[in-house]
Amino acid sequence: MELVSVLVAIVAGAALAGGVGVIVVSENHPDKVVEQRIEQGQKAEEPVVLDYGSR
Amino acid sequence: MRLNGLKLYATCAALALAALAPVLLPGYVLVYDMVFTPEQPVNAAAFGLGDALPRAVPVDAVVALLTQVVSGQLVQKVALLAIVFAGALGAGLLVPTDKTGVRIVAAVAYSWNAYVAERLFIGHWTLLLGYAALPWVAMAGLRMRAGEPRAWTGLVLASLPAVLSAPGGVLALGTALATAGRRKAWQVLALGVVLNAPWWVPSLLHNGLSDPAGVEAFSARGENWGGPVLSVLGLGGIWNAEVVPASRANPMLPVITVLLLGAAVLGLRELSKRMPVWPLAGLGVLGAALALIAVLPGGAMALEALIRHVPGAGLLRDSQKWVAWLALPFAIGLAAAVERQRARLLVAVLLLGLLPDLAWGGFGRLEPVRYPADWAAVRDKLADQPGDVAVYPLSAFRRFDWNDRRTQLDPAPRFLSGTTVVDDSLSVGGRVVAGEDPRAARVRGGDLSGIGWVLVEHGTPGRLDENLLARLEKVHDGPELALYRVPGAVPDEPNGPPVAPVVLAWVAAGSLIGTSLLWRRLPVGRFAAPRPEE
Repeated sequence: MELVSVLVAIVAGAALAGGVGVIVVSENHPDKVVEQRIEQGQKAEEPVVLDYGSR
Repeated sequence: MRLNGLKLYATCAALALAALAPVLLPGYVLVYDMVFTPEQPVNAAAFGLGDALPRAVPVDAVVALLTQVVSGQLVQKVALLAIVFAGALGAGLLVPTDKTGVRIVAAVAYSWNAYVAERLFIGHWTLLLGYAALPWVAMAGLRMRAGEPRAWTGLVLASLPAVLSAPGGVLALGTALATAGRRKAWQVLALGVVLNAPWWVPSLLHNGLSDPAGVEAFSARGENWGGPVLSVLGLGGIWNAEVVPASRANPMLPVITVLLLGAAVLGLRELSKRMPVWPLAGLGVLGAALALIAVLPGGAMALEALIRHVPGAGLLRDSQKWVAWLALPFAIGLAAAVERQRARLLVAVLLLGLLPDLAWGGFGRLEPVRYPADWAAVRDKLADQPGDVAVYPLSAFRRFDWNDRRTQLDPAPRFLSGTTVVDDSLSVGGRVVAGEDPRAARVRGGDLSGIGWVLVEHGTPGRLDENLLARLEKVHDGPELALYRVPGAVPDEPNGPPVAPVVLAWVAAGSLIGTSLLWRRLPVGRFAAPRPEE
């Protein structure tokens, strides 16, 4: 039982670290600034048809 | 209530608040398909008698009636909080155990997952009300299986939040069939057919067919290296990348998904000694298969053929929603799997930690805003005025500065009284999926026959035909909205489904609900023949 608990704790720790890592990377990666500039440019020229979403 | 029971209720309340606390601020949360207004009009379209496919029936009618009594924002806040609270509580109570920690794991697994997050962020609150009702439907189904007196009334009442929408109604019916067992199948089916009549009757009578292009556009999507299959098995995989929480790209997630599913299967084996869980698990497998149908070989073609030829089959697109059936066996199976572990609450923490971006309304995704005063001014100008309203720019969705440029459905049909014609074609990544309303198609072609008013919403992308507007008489010119009268407009004849069968459907469903309430409250329900052992 204790072994299972330790394993759960290890998997949980790894998963949480992965999740937090993904969020931190997605918020701070170097392309973010470029993306923001592109977004600002797109805002100035709005699309003719507004997307429901994108895949 | 015992302390342990209180702990479960407190956990469910905490989950609801953790996910949705910002929603409690004054105003309306307007994201993608979620639109609430101060007072939604009670009109023909709300009851399934409009020209377009009745996608929001009967929920529009119910919300319209409720908002005649209380403000729309109150209805919205209660509905959203109920999704997380009632879903979590139902899942917790469904597990046959005396350990509150086990119930808490089920509650967290059912209410704090990718399905809830993604569907909340895309504004599918009616589908989620149905999702939250599933554990309660399962409990009622199990009581029917056990032959408890008046159990069918419990099933009717538990299904009510689900039958507000077509997918919710189907989800509830499937869950009821799986839990009530074969001997009660006909009874459950009859109840389901009548309760769901307000949406399926007008859907079948609807003239138009849906665009099969929607099958591919709305098919399940891979969220990480696990692809669509593992994304869907992890209860995610919605078609729209914009509503997927960033944490779904976690590289550990496909591995964790397999581990958690494996644990849930082991837990279901244990649970099967205490309750009939295999039909529910089978339904979960069916749900996952349906969710993946459009990405499996030949699946998209079959679905496209169905949508091309069967009226109302357009309701089947966006098939990822059916994975809701997997969530319940997963949650109770996982809870049972950790029953003998001392570290079981760690699993609940793991589930919360895997999806931190569901907290606090997705950190800005679900944020209430107030409608600008222009909307009330135009509504007052149009009150009691004959003539339908066409809305420009021609686009189903809007992006206003006053809503932080969030993508949202046009609020006009639910804000203004009378009938409103909006462009219902959808663009997904630049690819257009044709709409279903023939009147909207005519307006797109510049034909304003039968239109009495034209409403122009400012500050949102889309085309405007200035030549068309130059021929109209401007009656309101505000910072957000402009209203034009169409000179010499002749009202259009209603082109919706025949009234009689739709009214009959509403009467049948209403009578069933009324009868089940009376059956529970009045002595009439106790005239049922006693069971042999009584």
